[in-house]
Amino acid sequence: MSDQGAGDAGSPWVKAQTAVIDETVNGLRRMARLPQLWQHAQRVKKGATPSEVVYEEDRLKLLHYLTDKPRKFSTPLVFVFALVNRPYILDLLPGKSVVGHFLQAGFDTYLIDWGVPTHADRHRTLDSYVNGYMVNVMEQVAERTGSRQVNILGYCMGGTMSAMFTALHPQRVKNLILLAAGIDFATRDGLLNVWTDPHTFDVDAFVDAFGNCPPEFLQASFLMLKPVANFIEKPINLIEHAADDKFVDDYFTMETWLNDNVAVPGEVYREFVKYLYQQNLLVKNQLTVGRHLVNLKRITCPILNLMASKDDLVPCAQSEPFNDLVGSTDRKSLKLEAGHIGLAVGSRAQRELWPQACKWLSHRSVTGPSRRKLNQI
Amino acid sequence: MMTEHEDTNQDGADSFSQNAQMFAKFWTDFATKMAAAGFAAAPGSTPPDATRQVRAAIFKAMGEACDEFMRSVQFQEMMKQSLANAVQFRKQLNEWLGQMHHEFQGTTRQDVDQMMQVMEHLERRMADGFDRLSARLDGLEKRQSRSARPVPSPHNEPRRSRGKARQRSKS
Repeated sequence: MSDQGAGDAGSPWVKAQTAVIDETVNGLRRMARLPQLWQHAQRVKKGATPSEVVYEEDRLKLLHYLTDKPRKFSTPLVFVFALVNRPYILDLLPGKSVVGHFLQAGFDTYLIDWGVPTHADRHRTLDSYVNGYMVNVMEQVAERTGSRQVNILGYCMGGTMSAMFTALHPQRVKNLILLAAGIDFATRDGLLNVWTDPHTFDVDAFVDAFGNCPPEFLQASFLMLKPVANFIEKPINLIEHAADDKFVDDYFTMETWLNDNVAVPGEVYREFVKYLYQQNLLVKNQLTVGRHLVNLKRITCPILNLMASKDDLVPCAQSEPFNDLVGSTDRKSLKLEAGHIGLAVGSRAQRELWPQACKWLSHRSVTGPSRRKLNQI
Repeated sequence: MMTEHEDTNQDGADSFSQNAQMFAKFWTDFATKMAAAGFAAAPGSTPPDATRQVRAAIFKAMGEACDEFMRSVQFQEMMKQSLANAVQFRKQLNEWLGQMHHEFQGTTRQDVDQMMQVMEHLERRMADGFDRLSARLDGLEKRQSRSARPVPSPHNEPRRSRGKARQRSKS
């Protein structure tokens, strides 16, 4: 009798029925949790690591991260974030913090928060940021730490700006890490590259009419890159995991950041679209920032180029050519199977990418006779 | 003998036929992918799992179709028109708001923008002037340092006015 019962339980028909009942119960449990979702949405925290503001200029704030860990390296690390979102994605949650990795590794870590531009900032150009704010920030960091050079980690648009900064001020940068940074815009892999085609998008008329590039416009563009994933799959995913508190907390933290877009100063947006997306001047060494020509060959410091193979915002084809365009001999690329944001906060990135990046930077921050041996890494 | 009018009609018909073909191809591909999604479930999987697998395949097919559509000339043309309309509307709004402000003896955003442009122009001219002075100073320093020890010049890099350093203020 019992043998027969066991046989029945293992049959596909019984399995299927059990699975349907389980799924129904889980569905009811999820539905019961739905009213509580707003509570999760209320308790979203921005930033995991304590920090202090050490420098301010206009809307810019330079954050210095505080840690109990001893400082192992004299050269500080400065994070340069993009102008399109808020920078706390780099320090989102405990265990999902890029900043945390570098603090653990013993780096004195700073982050540039560009702030939220208003209409008064619409005339700010790449020159204002690269030759203005960034120079001042690096000088401030140098004054505070006594180190004449800094390590720079630039993310997305901040990576492109970091590359420009390093080319214009090579003596100030010891090591450069680019994270999903657009350099060669000739590719048509990404939809943004297709949409910004000069025949389709008149950036001059747009900036003349709107001033700054509105955050809603940017947000809509980013969401439209993957409409099915963003508008259908993501909400379904939330409902399916409504009973999982950790998932829901992470989801709302992420969504808060994703919807926390800021306007891009009009002239910066015009320069970025026209000279990079449409004319691709950076790789041709024809881009002028202010009155200074950006020649990527002037970058001679060690380079680490980090990319995501599933990046729909900055496809690999946009970042990959960088290593061949610079004058550095010490250059390395790491590609992770992740998306644009997964590169910063994804669990695989935390496990595999950032420990490697920290190791890479640590070895290049060591001074003395052992440096040559360590450069092999 | 075909007249010019007939030529235009022919071109129009060709274009219509081409668009219709592309439209049909797009939807046929989409329908094929969606139909294939129905067979995505692995044999032996439970109904909830099978549903999830089919759903994932449908979303994948939809995603691919969307991507294809958003790369198409038709979508780009539509986007171009929408942006042109949005820009036109914004311009009209700006003009109307500007006129209203001026009627009330107020200052408009355009006035401020023009002032900013004048200031930018002035700044550029001053920066050019400083650059010329720097170059002359460098020349003088070089001449002077031929006999003496070289002095590092602080005038090589572009710089702007600085902000303020802060003592500890936790955020």
